[in-house]
Amino acid sequence: MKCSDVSSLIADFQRGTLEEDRQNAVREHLKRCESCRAELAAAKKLAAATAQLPKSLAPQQDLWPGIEARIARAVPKDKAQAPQALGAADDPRPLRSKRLFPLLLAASVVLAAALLIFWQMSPDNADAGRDGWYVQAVEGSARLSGELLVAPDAFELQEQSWLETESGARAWLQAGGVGHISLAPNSRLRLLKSGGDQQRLELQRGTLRASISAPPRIFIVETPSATAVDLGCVYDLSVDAEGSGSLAVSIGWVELINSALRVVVPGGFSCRIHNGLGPGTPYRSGSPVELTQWLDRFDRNDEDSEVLDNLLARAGELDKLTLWYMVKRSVGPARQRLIHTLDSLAPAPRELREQGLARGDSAMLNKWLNSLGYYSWP
Amino acid sequence: MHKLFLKQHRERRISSSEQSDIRSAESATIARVRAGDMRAYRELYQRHGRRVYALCLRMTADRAWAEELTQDVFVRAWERLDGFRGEAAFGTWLHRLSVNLVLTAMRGERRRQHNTAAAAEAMSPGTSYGEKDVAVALDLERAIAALPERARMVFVLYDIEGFTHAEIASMLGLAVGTSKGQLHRARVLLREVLQ
Repeated sequence: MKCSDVSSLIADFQRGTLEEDRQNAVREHLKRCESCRAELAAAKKLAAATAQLPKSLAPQQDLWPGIEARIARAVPKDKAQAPQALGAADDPRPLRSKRLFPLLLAASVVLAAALLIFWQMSPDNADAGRDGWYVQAVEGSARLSGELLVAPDAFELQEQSWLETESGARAWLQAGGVGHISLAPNSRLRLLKSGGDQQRLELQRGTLRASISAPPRIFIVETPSATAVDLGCVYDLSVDAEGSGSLAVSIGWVELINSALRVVVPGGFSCRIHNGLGPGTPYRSGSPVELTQWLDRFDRNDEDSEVLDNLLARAGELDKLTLWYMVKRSVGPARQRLIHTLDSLAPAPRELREQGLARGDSAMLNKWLNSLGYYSWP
Repeated sequence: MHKLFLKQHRERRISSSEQSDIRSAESATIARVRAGDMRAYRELYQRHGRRVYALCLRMTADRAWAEELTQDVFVRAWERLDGFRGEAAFGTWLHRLSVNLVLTAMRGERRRQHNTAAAAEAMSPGTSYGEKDVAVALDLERAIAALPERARMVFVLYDIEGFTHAEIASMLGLAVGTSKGQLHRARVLLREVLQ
């Protein structure tokens, strides 16, 4: 047997899967060939190192909310109506642990900060945060500052330069060392600022998906009607021709703000963005279209009693978080009706009850929100 | 048989009575999932999620993609749970499902430009490397992530996941000899890291 034969059989020899006569032939060759013994020793050393690798690895973020949200969207109705399915409103033990979420948020902040420090200290990534905006891949036609990009080269995205995808085209970006972005067809995106402690984009139209692993409030996307501030997450953000849009969060949390309104949208929830008004009321992703249409009218301060009547008639489909935001945005008798409905679905903590729910001020509402278990109020 | 030995050797040795207890506890959990109990499914995710993620990350060398694929696996497993008959352990069934899904995704999707540094970095936190071997392990993870795609896939499936060349050749649509050649190539490249 030649050395080249032995070299090609080393893996099977190590694993003991050769036929007996070949196993013996390799063994005999090894006895008299020093270079093949050295190769076997190197192979054993690699095998020993490989065997030490952990079989399990922890993702940098909790993937469960995204899984839960996707199953919730896909699940057949008969399964969704099973007694313990998907945190049904009458479930005495909600799916999300009420104590766990504030801890998760704190943990995600600490983890993200640790990862950023680790990332920046790594010699290979010393420049990642400073020079890390690249168009990594393109499908179809995309333009950077008006110039057609030719895949598969990587193109640097400079501050103030516009990246545009044409119909049917997609682009994938490395996002300043803090994550990745995919840009859907017919989108227009600009890098406003990269550096310091901020990565700021403008999405003028179209859709992006952001997968970010940075400490909260570093990655920010401006749209014509609201600004999306990353709190550690994966999300889709869309802007239509009129400047309205929507946000769908898969994992983590995203804060939507404009000059007057602030909404924190958790994983598994979506939120409309209204031109001229800003962020709407968050709702569980996959809610019926009719429900979201009524919510749109509610967001637009439609005072027609039909709007509230229809929404409250569908209270079973409204998530507790949606109702909470509706309470926050309403006044007068409408507010009292909503407080009553929310209280029937998620009873207010005793201390709030003793203070009188009718008071309904911001401090009380925030305590009630924290008791719902979606997040601690950032 | 040898594959089974390797798996048992690498993981903690578990007695047959412990295995039986685990199987029956898992059967009860799966029955709850079939009844629509998402808390039970979350338990399964917590038990197996990191194992699935490790496979996805090492195969793709792309953290974001690995996260997506891990989610895909658990959504697909939920959809297909009726097809799980309990003949094998749930973990075995899920692992095979994961491998198939990852390979399908890698065949069908665009070629992603993976960031090997990011992939290696993603492997370090929260993992349980032995203290004295952590530098070697991280170097090795980084080198695996930097391997040419096919060599990496064969190496991960053969040397880490314990599949045979015949199984890998079947899964990847290769000749057995090609699978062996790719493993040889991967090992030669990785040995340099350890020298």
